[in-house]
Amino acid sequence: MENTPGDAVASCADNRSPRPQVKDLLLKYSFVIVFAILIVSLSFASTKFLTLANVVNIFRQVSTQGIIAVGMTMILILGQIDLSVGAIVAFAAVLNALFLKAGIPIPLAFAITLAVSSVWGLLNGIVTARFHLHAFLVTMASQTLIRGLTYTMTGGYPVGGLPKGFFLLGSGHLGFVPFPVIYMLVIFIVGSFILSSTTFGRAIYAIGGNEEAARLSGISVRNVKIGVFVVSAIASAIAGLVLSSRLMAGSPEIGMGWELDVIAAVVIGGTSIMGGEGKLSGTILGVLFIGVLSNGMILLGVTPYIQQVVRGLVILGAVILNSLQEKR
Amino acid sequence: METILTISGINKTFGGIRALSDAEFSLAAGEIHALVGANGAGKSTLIKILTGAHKPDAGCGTITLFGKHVVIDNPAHARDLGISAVYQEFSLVNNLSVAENIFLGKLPLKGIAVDRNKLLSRAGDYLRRLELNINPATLVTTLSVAQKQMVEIAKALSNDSKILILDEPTASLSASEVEHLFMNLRRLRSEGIGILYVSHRLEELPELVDRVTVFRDGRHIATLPIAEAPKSVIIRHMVGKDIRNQRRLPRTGSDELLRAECLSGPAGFDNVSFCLRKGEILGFAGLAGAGRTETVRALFGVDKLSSGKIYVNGKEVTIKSPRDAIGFGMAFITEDRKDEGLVLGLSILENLTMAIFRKLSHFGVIGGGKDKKEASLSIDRMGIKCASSAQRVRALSGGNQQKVVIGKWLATEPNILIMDEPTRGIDVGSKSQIYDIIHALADAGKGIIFISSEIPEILELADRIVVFASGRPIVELDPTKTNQDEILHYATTQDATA
Repeated sequence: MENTPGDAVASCADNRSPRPQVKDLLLKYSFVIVFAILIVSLSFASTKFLTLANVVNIFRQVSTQGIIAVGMTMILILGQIDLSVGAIVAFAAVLNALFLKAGIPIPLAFAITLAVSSVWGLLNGIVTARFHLHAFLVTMASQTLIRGLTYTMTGGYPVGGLPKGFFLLGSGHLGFVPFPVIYMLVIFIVGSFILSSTTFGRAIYAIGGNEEAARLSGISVRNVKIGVFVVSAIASAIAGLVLSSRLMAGSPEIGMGWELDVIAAVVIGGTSIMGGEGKLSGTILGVLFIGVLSNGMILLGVTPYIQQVVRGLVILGAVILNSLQEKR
Repeated sequence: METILTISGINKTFGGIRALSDAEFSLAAGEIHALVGANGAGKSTLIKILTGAHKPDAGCGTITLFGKHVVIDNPAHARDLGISAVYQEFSLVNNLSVAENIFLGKLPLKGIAVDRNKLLSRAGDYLRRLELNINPATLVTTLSVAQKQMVEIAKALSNDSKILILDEPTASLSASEVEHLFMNLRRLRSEGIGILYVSHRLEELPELVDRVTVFRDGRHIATLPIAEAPKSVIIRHMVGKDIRNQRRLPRTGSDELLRAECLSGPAGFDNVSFCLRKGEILGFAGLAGAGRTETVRALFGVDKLSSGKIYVNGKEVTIKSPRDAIGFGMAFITEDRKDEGLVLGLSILENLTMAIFRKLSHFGVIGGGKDKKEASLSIDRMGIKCASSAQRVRALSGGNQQKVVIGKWLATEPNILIMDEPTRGIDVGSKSQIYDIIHALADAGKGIIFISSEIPEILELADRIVVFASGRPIVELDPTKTNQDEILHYATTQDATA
């Protein structure tokens, strides 16, 4: 307290951290360690697991939910939740399929689909921000609305007979890397950059940590909230396009329950559901972890019912672990 | 007197910061022992170690309780050992009755049901012992702050505590409530209870405590009988140097920065007009709820204004959000730093740059480590004690947190600063640093609206004083020609038209 303004440099330098204890390190990297153990044991348990074909397969399988997880990470850091992502996946898939069937060129159909889907994000964000509602309630309502609308658009049936060129979006390869994996990685990199190095990203953390302090600091809380919901909706719509290309159909049934899968992956990756903290590097690990776990269980012939039980236990373990780290 | 508690050689480190080093303290039965020190001096840490909330660093130091070495594992263990604490933030359950709160976790039973008659009568005994005239069946939520505090003390007594720790117990009490508290503490002392009393209010110590211990930077500095420790001596130990007490020359007659005309709003202020000139410190005095905070919140675009005009540099402006206000060169250091000033879970860097990251960015991208440079500049300028700018603000002491808030706003290079109780709850050393900063800002030509409930502080700092009562300014006073009594007289004027 003897510092006058100006001579605090010294006091900042001489308080270096002591060597962290092994226990703290273990806890901090416990998730990575558990993940590594899982990979090593699966590679012993099944000879198929560590083959290139299987690894590529895992990445491709997680890619659609992975894309949505980028938006969901931002949503959770903001202190909100978005339950409408699964419905938007189906909405985008169906809308795009209808456009393609009507003979609209593929790029134009994509563009209009993404634009229209982003309106759902706009709606979620505006209602949440304008009426100071928790997004749980708003998106719970909007997901029902969107899903219902999607069914209405097709009469409940999938839209098939799509042009051959559409196949490339979800099933193309660059070398041995499937396109969807590339989309996912690019979106993760862009998302990380947004979160760490842009004013938008900083504002997301600030609002999630303390909305009132953020507002008083001149941050436009409403615009940022709306922006994040739009990002989440667009990410979901992209996932919808990719998935429908792999199925070569626009089905109103897809993406059912995905919101919870994606939230689980994000939370396993260490993002707090209370807002204000989280990282995309954690989210990608969370997404891959779930992918590896499911893949491993399939390889080992675990029945789907037991698979669910295991996934549930894993999510529970992860949130307990996060709360232990929080206390440090 | 018999010594019941001795702490010796205790260390505590948080993520690289030494909060306590080689701490010493002792408490006798039937003694009130004050523990004072600047924010960050280690008082809270010491208390938390005694109540089992923190564990001291392993391998050094001892805690001796009633002649036996003890290791305090957790709060429940501390309670079993006879140590209870009453914090500024109470740990009462608002929706339960007074009696249930006192006996929470040890409710008297009849069979499997709570024995309600026994509960109420035993709670009543404790309340009578503290001369507290409330029905034990009352819900805690309906009590005043002072009454809640007494319930906390009753709870401690019900645990058969021999050591009672009080953290800033008088911070939000009125004069008569303080008197009642002191009377009770004196009685508990005579019953042989040892009381550890933490307070920033040095004036109140002589009439209450027997000894005073001063901590500074986590170390024990001195323990003195209160008779040998007048305020000046305590302050010297707290800050390690004498505090300057200087008045700057009042400035008048320069250009007008801000003018408010007939501001009214639903938040409880009516017809407020004032003007702020360059290089001027304009003091807003008054009681809580007199309309000072309400006025400046609306001025800064936080709350709604129902009528009135605002002029900045002579031009009429419309301020609808804090963002607008910042655009007009205004900054607002709010009275509640934890709820409104800081994002506690984020780093010092992120907090310091929160109001300016748009300025640091290029097309929305913050690049080239500009934010790091800006943050380390602010850390130096404000004298913030920290391990690095990546440290979370939550881990800082109150005084350092307040410096982060001020640093955040100074980074916006404002011309008009609104400071609402900027020195509340912080220690003497940080206070004098903040006074220096305010003086320097005024000397640099900024205009400052300084809101404070501490009248001596306003008298010392302000160039002009506006006294608020019942939601409007009552009178404007010249600090060189007025005194505490006159300001209080106006502040307590009930009828604003008088």
